[in-house]
Amino acid sequence: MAGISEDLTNQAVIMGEPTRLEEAVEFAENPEPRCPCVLLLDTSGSMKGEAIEALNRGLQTFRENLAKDPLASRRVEVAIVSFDNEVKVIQDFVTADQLEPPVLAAQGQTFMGGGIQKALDLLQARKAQYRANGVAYYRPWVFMITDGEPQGEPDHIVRQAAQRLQADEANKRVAFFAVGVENANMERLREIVVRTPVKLVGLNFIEMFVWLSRSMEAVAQSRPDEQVALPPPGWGTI
Amino acid sequence: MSACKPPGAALEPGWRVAAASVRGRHHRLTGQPCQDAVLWQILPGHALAVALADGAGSAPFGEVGAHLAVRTAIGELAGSGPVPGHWPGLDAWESRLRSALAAGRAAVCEEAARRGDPPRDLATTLIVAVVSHQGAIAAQVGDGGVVILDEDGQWAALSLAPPGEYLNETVFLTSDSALDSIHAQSRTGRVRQLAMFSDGLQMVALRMPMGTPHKPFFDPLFRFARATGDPTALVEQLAAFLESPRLTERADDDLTLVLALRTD
Repeated sequence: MAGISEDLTNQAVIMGEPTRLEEAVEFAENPEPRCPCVLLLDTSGSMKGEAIEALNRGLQTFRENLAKDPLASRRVEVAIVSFDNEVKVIQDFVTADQLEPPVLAAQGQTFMGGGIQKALDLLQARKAQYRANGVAYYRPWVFMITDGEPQGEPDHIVRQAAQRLQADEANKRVAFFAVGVENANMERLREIVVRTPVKLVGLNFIEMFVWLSRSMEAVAQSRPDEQVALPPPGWGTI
Repeated sequence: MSACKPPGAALEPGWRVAAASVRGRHHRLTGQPCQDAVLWQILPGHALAVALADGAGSAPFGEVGAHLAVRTAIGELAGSGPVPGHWPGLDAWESRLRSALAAGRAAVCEEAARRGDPPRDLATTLIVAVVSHQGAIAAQVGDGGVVILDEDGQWAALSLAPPGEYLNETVFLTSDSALDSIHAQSRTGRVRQLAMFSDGLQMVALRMPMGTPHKPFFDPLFRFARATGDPTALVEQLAAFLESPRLTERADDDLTLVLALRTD
């Protein structure tokens, strides 16, 4: 046990140098953990006008939101995939602070099934890169922003994408959010994705980062209702 | 200050122990309380028992589960403590630690039932460790870790969670598979210092992915603890360190750190 005189001496030391401890402690240099996120964006003709403008504004908000959060801006890695008559990787993975949101134009049909497949492929490849480089990571997210109407693809392509998505959600490979803009067909979206679709209006991406990075149960849930975690209120309406 | 109730510090026969627990940035944003809990007790024979629980951020009452878990586990270990001068074999201790985890799980599940909530609403991790002159042993369900400094001045991980695929996903005491997922580790030989921490500190305190203790992280903390005889000052400084911007820029979770050092 420490003696009284020793106590007094040490208190004096502490009061004299209040920040000594935090300055003295060094942190381990580990690669920043990453949270891969694909923005899967509908750029079809039906998005023309208000919807594509809302989407472009949404991208700016997404970037601004994440940039405000020092951890999110370093940890969230964003890739952007667009789908209309073709599926394109507009932006490969970059950290949120490096993201330059593109300005999108709307044209053509809605190859949503192909888009979903591409997003899931990108995530799979990214996770393999993290593993190869010893980078810790969070469960990946996809935000599919759309007016909710696959078009121009054979039905089985959309069905296969929906099936893969359901399997990937059940196996915790991804958290896939469908986000509807303007007059999105939420009914049709519900048929394709697992989680309840949300509206883009009022969407707060920081709340979403906070919500998605809470500590969670790692074991796959046995009850299907537990796979469909809903965001907290204040996220935009269903 | 967003510190939780500081768990405090004490000069116990043979040990100086200090623990601090602070609310993470995410919990401040969402208005959630600090969901970590920590408790320790000196057992007969100058053995030290420590328990730390990290309530799940995704559980609405994770902090209830966490506090109940540490109280139950320490109660269980104190009730089955060694008689002075007698250190049970490590196998015997392992079974006691497993019983403490099982008791923690049972208490949390019972509390959930009493409240009419599903057990996962009280989800928490739980780490327990016991150290005496002859050895150290730790057992855990979920993430967080325990590191020790041995008699030769070498830091080593005593117990760390086996890594899962995703950083923020782990096994909880309330999980169906909890008791099958217990990770227990022991080592013989005298331990000079022990640190136990919640998973929020992992990326700054350990070199990943090997999980080896980062000496420049722990050494200054223990030098400070050894030099600081006033328990109140020690805990205040520890909490201030856990809340310092340098650290919260790197970790947004609730943070709990226990430092225990031998004084005999």
